[in-house]
Amino acid sequence: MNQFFSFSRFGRLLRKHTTENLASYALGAAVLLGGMLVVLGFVSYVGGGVSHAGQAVLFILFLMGAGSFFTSTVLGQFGSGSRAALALTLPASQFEKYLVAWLFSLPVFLAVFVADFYLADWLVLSLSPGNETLVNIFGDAETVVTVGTVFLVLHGVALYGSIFFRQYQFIKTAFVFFLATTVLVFINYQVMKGVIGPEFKMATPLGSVNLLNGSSVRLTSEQARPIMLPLLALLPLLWLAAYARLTEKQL
Amino acid sequence: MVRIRNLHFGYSRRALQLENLNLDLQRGRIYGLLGKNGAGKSTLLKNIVGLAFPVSGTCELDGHAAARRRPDTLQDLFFLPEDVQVPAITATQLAAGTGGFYPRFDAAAFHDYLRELEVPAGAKLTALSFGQQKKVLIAFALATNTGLLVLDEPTNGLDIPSKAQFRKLVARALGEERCVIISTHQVRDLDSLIDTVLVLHERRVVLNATIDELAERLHFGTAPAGAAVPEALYAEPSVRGQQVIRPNHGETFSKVDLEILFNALTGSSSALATYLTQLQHEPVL
Repeated sequence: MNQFFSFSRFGRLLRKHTTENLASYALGAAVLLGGMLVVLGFVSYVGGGVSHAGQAVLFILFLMGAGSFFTSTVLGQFGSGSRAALALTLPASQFEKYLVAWLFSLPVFLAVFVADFYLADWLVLSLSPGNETLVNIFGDAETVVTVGTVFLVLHGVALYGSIFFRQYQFIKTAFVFFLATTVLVFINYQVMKGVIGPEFKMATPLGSVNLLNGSSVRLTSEQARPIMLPLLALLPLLWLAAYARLTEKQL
Repeated sequence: MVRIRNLHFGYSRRALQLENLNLDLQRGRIYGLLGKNGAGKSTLLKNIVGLAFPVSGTCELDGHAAARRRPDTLQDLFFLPEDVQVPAITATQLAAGTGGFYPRFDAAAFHDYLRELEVPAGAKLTALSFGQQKKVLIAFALATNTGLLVLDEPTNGLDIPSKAQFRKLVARALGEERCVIISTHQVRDLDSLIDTVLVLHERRVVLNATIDELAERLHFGTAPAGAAVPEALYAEPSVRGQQVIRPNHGETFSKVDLEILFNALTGSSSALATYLTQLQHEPVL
């Protein structure tokens, strides 16, 4: 018997996970749909419709928020207590257990999320008085790559947080993430101050600098593209770290 | 089946919970692991099933390090933790979804055990009481027919009839190919069930002996209150006078009283521990 991966064992694990979590996942998808309907409906009511840019911004915000939240729960069953004891001693390899969590948190989540969003968007636009059409989220390749990269890195962070912390994984991961972001912004601000002096209002790490005279300096998309590469390189490291953490998990 | 050598374990290296443990556990036996609260019973069980990793030393299951959690090792062991958390499915769905991971899982036996424990197979597990949830997992654990069955405080949360039922089911489920380890701090719950006693005290196994060996070496009896008992290894007051443990010099065999034995080994007197040293798997403190 292969101790690392077996299709029959993996299939059994996938069926078990689906059976045990289908009801809660369906409920989660329904809550997400409800949340989208409320927000899109409110924006449409206030603005008399939702523009393509508005739909795209809401799509990105919902994607980042819901994706990070869901991913930070997928390895939570291995965190602590009797649930973790039963999950860790279930006769399947650590890789198979990890792969099930990865599949549900990425491809399955994305499919359900996109369907949820378009359903909510379609319902709201059908009822709104304006004549806006559904936005094509995948229309602009540049945006898809940028948003996709940020989403994947957030997925890696949330996945690692879901196995690193024993409890309250989402809250703890979000806290550490925002703390790290604040430190990065502060360091970036100090570096920029050293480089161009105090004549600027704000500096976004790896992004733009807003000067006091109202103008801003930002990278062109060609210049910004290579910056995505180190972020993408970080992704497999985060996924690997989450897997390693699972194999070393003790109760 | 289980082979532990020079095992040291602690959640911090400076505060060890288990120290230099050596233990061999065989198939065909029911081991009772006794110890006070916080003695490290659950910690030892977690080391055995690969949920905690030794700081040094080894813990092997059929020649493989337990900490590796290999699927072929895991499919021959079932660990029932003290507290149970169940998914929102029925017992029947549990058997269908999880039973397949255990090659010798017997679904018919699982449903028989459920009937005997009076738990409905079609009810959502989350809708059952804690005791009933525990019974479902006990039934499942027995039905897996794994070579190693590790039960951590299995009788906690069970009512009195269910405790008796539990003893009957475990005794029935034991075969020559099966090693059962039951940890408890309620020694009466294991009466007439276990055939080997392990006592964990102050980070070490201070007793590893079969009930037959103990009955052969020790005599459990009573004496009038206040009376001096020659050769007494341990005595404690009771409503009938004193309960006494003495060496057995080939007299009639007495029933081993696990509670008195446990009190004698974990109390301040070391007379019994010293006497039993020759029986020990490892030196007594």
